[in-house]
Amino acid sequence: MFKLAGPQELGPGLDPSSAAAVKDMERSGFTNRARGGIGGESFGNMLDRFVHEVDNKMDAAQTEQDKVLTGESQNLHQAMIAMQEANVSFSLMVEVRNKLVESYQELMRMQV
Amino acid sequence: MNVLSGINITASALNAEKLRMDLVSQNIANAHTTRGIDGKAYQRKTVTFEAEMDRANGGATAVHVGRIENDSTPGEMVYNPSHPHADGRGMVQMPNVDVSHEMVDLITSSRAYEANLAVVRNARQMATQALSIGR
Repeated sequence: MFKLAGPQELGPGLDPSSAAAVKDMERSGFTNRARGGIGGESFGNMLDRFVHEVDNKMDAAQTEQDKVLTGESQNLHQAMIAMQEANVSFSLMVEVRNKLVESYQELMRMQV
Repeated sequence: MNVLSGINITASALNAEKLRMDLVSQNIANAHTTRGIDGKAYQRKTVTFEAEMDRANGGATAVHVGRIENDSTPGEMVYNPSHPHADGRGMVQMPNVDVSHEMVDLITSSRAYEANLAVVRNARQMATQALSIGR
């Protein structure tokens, strides 16, 4: 997703020490993680995985509810627990999204 | 993967306690059934709980329902010659259900059920508060 600019693209006003710091960060794999490089996972993949897991949990909750309503299962607590799971994991996904958006905005606010 | 930690263990306990309560209700309902399906008096049903390793949760111990067994202690023989099921000497075999015993089992299993529900509620509360770190 985001690629930190290499030192030669930052313009003439920047002093070389911070350009070296940026290069160090690149080398240490910080941006590689964002791109999905060695040992890391890109944000896009992570969000995708999250959405699929939440979807699975919601399907499981719906199945349990149907089982209780049709009388196939007598365990009402199972349906409630599945619903709570889906609820909490959905909230977790929303929090992750909020954090990502916040950090994106923070990044965009940086003066160049 | 479970977001609420340890919820599988609690769910197995809830299932087990509910089953025990169902058996108590069956015993109490049949406390005066003098002829069961096999022709003899109703025999009280008991259930045993066994521990079971839940590998998905890192080896935590879940509750597994053992067998539902008939309690084989003989019930009371009551002298009642006018009873349709009385045998030659006028004795009727009553079921071995002691209602006060069953009521104690009922209270035990319902309190255990409530305790497990409290665990679920608290787990959800902990998860919600953990999520509020980021807000």
